[in-house]
Amino acid sequence: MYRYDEFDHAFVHERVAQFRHQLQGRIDGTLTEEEFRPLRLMNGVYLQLHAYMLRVAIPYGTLSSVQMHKLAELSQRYDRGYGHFTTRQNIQYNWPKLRDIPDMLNELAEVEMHAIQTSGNCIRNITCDPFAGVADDEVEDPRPLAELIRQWSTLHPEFSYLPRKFKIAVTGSPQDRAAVYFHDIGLRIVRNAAGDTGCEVIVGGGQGRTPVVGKVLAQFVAKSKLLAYLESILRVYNLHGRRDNKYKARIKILVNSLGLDEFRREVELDFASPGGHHPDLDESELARIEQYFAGPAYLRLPAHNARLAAALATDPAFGHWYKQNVMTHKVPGYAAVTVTLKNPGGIPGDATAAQMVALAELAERYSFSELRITHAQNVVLPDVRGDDLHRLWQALGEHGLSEGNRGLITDIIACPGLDYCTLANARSIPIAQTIAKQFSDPQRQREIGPLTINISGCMNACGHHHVGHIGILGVEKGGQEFYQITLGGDSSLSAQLGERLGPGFSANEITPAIEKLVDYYCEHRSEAETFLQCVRRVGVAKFKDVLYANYT
Amino acid sequence: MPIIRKGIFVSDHWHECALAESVHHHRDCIVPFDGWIESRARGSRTGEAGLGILVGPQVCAESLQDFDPQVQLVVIEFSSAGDGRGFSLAGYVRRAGFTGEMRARGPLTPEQYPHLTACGFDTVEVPEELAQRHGELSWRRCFGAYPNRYQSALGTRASIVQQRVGDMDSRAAQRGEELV
Ligand code: SF4
Repeated sequence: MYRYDEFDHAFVHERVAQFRHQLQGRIDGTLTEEEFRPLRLMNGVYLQLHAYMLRVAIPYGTLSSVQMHKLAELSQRYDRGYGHFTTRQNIQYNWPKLRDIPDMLNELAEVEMHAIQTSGNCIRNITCDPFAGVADDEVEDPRPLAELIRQWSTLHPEFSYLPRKFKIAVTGSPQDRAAVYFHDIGLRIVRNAAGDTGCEVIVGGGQGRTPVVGKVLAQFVAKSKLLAYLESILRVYNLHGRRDNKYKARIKILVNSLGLDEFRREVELDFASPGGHHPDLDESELARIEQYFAGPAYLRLPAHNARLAAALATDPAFGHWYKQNVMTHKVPGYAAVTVTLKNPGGIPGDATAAQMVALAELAERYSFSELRITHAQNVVLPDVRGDDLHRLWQALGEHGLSEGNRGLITDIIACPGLDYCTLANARSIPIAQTIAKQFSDPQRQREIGPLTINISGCMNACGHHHVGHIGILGVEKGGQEFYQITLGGDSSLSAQLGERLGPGFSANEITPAIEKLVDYYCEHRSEAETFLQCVRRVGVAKFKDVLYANYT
Repeated sequence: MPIIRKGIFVSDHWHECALAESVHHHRDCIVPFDGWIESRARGSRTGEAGLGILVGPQVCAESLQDFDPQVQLVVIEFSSAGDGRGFSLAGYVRRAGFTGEMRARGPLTPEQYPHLTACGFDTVEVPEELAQRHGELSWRRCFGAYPNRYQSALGTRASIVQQRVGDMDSRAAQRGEELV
């Protein structure tokens, strides 16, 4: 894991001092609310429906046990004893007092964390494949580049007042687990013919009101040129992105209005400009960062583990969890474990202080003190020995964390919705809870197989509904909440946006509607066909007919 | 409007007028960008005194070049505190080799000062009302903020990365190793 040096430490502490001063300015009136707003936003402080909310960055989703302990501590000292992990690998505290926030930031700085640029019209927290560095299908660990980009984008003097927010994701694997086609910039580490690694650059993807699948801007950019290339993209966007209408201000709108070729021409013109301002990408700096990600001291273990095999043979519940939540690791004898924060009936992505402490301790004991947060709002213990898996699973069970539902119908992604969010049109959390309860039977979940349900409380799509196999969008009509269903979305490399099926359903009708879709799939799938494959084969129209057959 | 240089409010001698008018002045004049670029195309000069150019946020960035020595000041306008185009325009001006004074004009706040200086601005000009609320003290405090940044940008200080690399080089040198 990356560790701060004296420069990084000094920087975050200075940032905390600045924010403390800004807050003082707001309190004594030298700063108006209008002036304070962008300043607090750039430091992750939102004003929600009932309280201020603090969003803390978890850069590329990687956390140490010490950091997780701190997150738990903060939730107890300054909040109501829980935190909410988001779809952007951040954590949100929903109830802090504004005057406490500088102290919270100070405590975070002590464990090398911050809330810089978790909001505002700037480059946001860089997200990454949660299995970075441990996946066996990886070209290269994307985290050194992600860290490099984190530093480069931190308080970038030229790009802190962009037309709109800007999100960058990096993946090092051909399997896209970072949704790179749905970010303002998505980077895929690839190997070229000469055997060198660099990035394929995807631009202009995004969700929100105008969902767009990103387009390939450059097939290969060498690492040494990457920051310069990113600067050129950002510069074209900063100068030409729309500023008159916030719904048309994202880079995807600019790319679409210029056309990809013209946009590329502009970027390359800037990139090639003589005397161009090419930022630092010193190779020794990249090497310095890379050494932090060399990986822990793995033991040489046999690939086959007798203890694990015995546990699998005798404990079927463990077997189910193992099948669903454990991923192969690049190092023989190790495994990457997903702990879902998706107890049916609970709030997706919420973890209590006690659960965070338990996760931190289990990571210490079983996973080299490291954890990851995924964009599906779950936690990963990346480096667990095969012979520890059974014990780990039992320990997780003591804290309500052993649900074997990763990627299944109850592993629902949901935004905070109308329970917290000022922009919401409808509640998301209770809908997620009702659906998850309806499908809570583990046997039935397994029969249904891989199926993601994503729920957003408004068009802003923080719950990624466009890319859920089933997407649910909350809308408001005549003071009532309604839920529209989209079908066939996919955030992986076969990226696709879901298609809207038709008129919305009320909160009471939505779960039965989901039942209908699932039942139809179960009856009509061909052998071993997943829900998404079935939708693609049968066609969305068929599902629509079934759903609205007796609809009045 | 008040002008801030190195965190201090200073008075200003520049006079603002149309290009045609500036010919008759013996003072230093700020003229609109459009007029300047047209006159330059025709090869006409505008007199002996210093020339300043007023660049709006919409100006085409690529046209910000070929500053003749008479141009001593470039004023870049910000339509609001959130309008970040000026930060990028500044880069074009500096990269075109302009070494004179570069000024940011608009409803900017002291919090933006470190970003402005890092992008190569020398002075900031804010509306009277803003200067009343954010006095010299605020500007002075923010002038020194973030002495170290991750980007080399266009400021004069070495970035954190450059300092790290320099640090490694000097440590290597101390150990008598060869620098690579
Ligand atoms: S999707 Fe809408 S309701 Fe949900 S968190 Fe985002 S802005 Fe709020």
